Amino acid sequence: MGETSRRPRSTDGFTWSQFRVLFRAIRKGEDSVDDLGFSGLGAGASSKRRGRLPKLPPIAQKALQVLVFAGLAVVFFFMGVGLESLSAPELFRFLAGVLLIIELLTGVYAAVNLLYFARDNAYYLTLPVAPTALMWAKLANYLTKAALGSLILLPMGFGALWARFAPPSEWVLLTVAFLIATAIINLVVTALTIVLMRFSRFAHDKDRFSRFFGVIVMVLALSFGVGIQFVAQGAAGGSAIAAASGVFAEGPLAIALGVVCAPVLLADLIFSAAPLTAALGLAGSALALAAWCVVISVLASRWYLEGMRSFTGSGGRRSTRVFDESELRGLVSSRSGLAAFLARDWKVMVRTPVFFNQFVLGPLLMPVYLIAIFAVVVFIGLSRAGVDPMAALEQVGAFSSMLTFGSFPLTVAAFAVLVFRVFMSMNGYVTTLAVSREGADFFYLRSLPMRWRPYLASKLLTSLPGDAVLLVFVAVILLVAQVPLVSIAYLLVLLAASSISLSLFSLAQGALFPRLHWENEAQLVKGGSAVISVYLTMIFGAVVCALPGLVLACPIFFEIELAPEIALLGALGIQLLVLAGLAWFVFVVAARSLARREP
Amino acid sequence: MIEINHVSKSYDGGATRAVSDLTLEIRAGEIFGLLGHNGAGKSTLLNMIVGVLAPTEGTILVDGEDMATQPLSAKRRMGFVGDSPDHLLRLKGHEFLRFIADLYEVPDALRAERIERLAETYGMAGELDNQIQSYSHGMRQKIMVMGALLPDPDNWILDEPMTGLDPTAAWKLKQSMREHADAGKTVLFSTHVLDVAEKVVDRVGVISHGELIFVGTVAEMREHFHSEGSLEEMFLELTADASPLAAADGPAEPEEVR
Repeated sequence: MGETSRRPRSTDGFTWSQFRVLFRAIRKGEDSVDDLGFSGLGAGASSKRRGRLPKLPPIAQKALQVLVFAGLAVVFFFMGVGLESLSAPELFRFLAGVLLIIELLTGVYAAVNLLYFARDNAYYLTLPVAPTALMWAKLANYLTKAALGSLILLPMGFGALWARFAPPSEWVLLTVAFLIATAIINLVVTALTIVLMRFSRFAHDKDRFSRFFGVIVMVLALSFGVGIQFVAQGAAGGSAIAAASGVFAEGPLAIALGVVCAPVLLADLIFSAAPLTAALGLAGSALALAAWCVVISVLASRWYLEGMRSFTGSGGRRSTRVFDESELRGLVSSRSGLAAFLARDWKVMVRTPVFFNQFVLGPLLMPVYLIAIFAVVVFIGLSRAGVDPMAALEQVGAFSSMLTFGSFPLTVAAFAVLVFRVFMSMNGYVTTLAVSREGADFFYLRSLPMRWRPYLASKLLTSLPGDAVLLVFVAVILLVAQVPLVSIAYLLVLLAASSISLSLFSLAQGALFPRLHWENEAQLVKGGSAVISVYLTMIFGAVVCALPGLVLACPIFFEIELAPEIALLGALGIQLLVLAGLAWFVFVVAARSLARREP
Repeated sequence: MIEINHVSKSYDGGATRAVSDLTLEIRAGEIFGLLGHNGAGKSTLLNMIVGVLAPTEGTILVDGEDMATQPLSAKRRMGFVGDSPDHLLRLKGHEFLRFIADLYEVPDALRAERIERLAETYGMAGELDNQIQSYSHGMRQKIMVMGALLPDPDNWILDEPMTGLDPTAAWKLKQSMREHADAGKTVLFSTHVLDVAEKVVDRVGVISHGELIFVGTVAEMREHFHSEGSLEEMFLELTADASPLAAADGPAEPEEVR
């Protein structure tokens, strides 16, 4: 009979000092390399930061994080005001339900990354430490971060309590109950993750797994953005959130929530007016927490370390296909330089989960986000005004028929298009980071016979899909609004020219000042520098559209005598000139700069 | 042929001199080994030859093409393997090779046959359909070598090419280098593995603190040092601080022994 695998015993050399040392090392060491969250703010890549802004000192980073958290807390607080009609137990159930959904959608991804995909895991496994000490250090690190992140929902509860002048006891009870529920839900997510990673083959493909959850996180972020609009619309928004809270009050979702998070079942006891009853409720909640701790302990001891070992160095399925010469001929046929660069860049962008989420998915979903915002604002506005949507559409059609070429309304519409373009400039950071995406590979490319103009052209093309979707979105709106075709063509050409101008400007900036010294892709797209890039591109948008915008603004705001046809043609002409100038700058000046850039 | 004429590279406004007034000719038909301790300036020199770094002074000609003024045609005349093989990791093996072939404008008719031959030589036939990031270090090194050899350039510049290669692949690379040189072409490689260099090179250059302190054959080096010792022993003596050739102001010309 063969030797059976030994399960690690809880007393298998475990010491508290080992646990403390490992916990401290993991908490500090994994922060700067694998963290995809806000703790990366201001953290740069390697020490090679020539000619760039200095890295923020740690205390400034922490201050910035606190500021961001505080800002979000304020937003959630005011969202919570719309929940004032809920009783304390109903409020608690709602918060717990929302937390459970968020953690299931995003917490599993975070847990998998921190517990299984961290690069340092292979190193930890070589250390002379008790396996259980390592296991608990990893789990404690994840649970601490997850719990702290979950606290962002608590201000929402405070907003509701504040709105209905709840007594101090309810504030205290809500806080304690929510803390216990947070701990339980994160333990549940951890348990789910351990089971998932033990039995799921899909999770073993890191790239596919990351892309899948990247889509979910993106959708969640957009939903949150749309949700904010309900708050901004005031009373109408509040009633929508209150309506959503009913989902967790009864029905299958409520039952599932109660099973997973026992404090939800005890909510009526917890918030009872009688102190003893409330204490019993809290005691029961604490017992539930203890029970889940035991569950985690059992599951982790059985499966976590085994899973961690199996994941070191794991990736997707590997092909063993051998191509014969005829197959190779089809695969490696010659292409133009532009096609070669485009294919390479696109593949890298799509296959790198972080780049896929930020540079492909984000720009494509942004118009969807816009449509949702537009629909929410229009729908709520029309509802409040008591206007029938069909009647409103007819009125829009009547106005659109006035947008003939050479008319003043078209001049206003053209100005609005440019303003819209500036507003949407944030997408331009995709192009700003186009060269930076290469990282250290750039210097390998420098050793090859590169032609930098087609290289830059390929970077421009890979950033255009988002703009193309925007163009289609605007075209559909104009067609539905029955704007005359000639005017539609004019507006679309103006929008396309301003979009390409912005892309060229962003590309030039990114090519002249690339960030090539990063250690992982997350460092490029997260952090203070990335945030600055986003706002910089908005400024770029304003710059490239300034002159044409000024020409259009003459008859609108400055009461300057300028025939609309002149203003329209002048604006378009100037935009095309700006485009041509920027194209020269990119394909001559920036290309030359890239050809000479040294490590 | 590669001609390096009075090339220097300095940083920080001249405060740091990585390579100092180096002149060297690597002839067609030879394998030239560049030896030096860590930080001697080998990689800096190689990066200048392949055009990643621009010399502060001097010129570099590759088959007569000036790297500064004709970088595209100069680079098309050489294949380079750097000291790190971790490049373009998201591409599959065949995608990477196709990309290289496109840059070097390798004719369609030759691509498939060359790739198939290289894949067989380096044992990579079953790996071309996987992303480079899934390769081990040695496999990544092999695919980089294959990429450098695919265009069949006249000049091979290899920076520590044996690192990570299994014995079979290392032997095959050495064979390829020998065949390439015997065909009248040029191979320049740097290495720390002096045993390998001793067996493979036609001439050797020793660089120390940015200066070329010896150029010649291994036999000439032995004659110069009156030593029957290994290249390793002579190298250590040559680059030691107490070496007469490592004096404060350095030699005016490298000890080129003919």
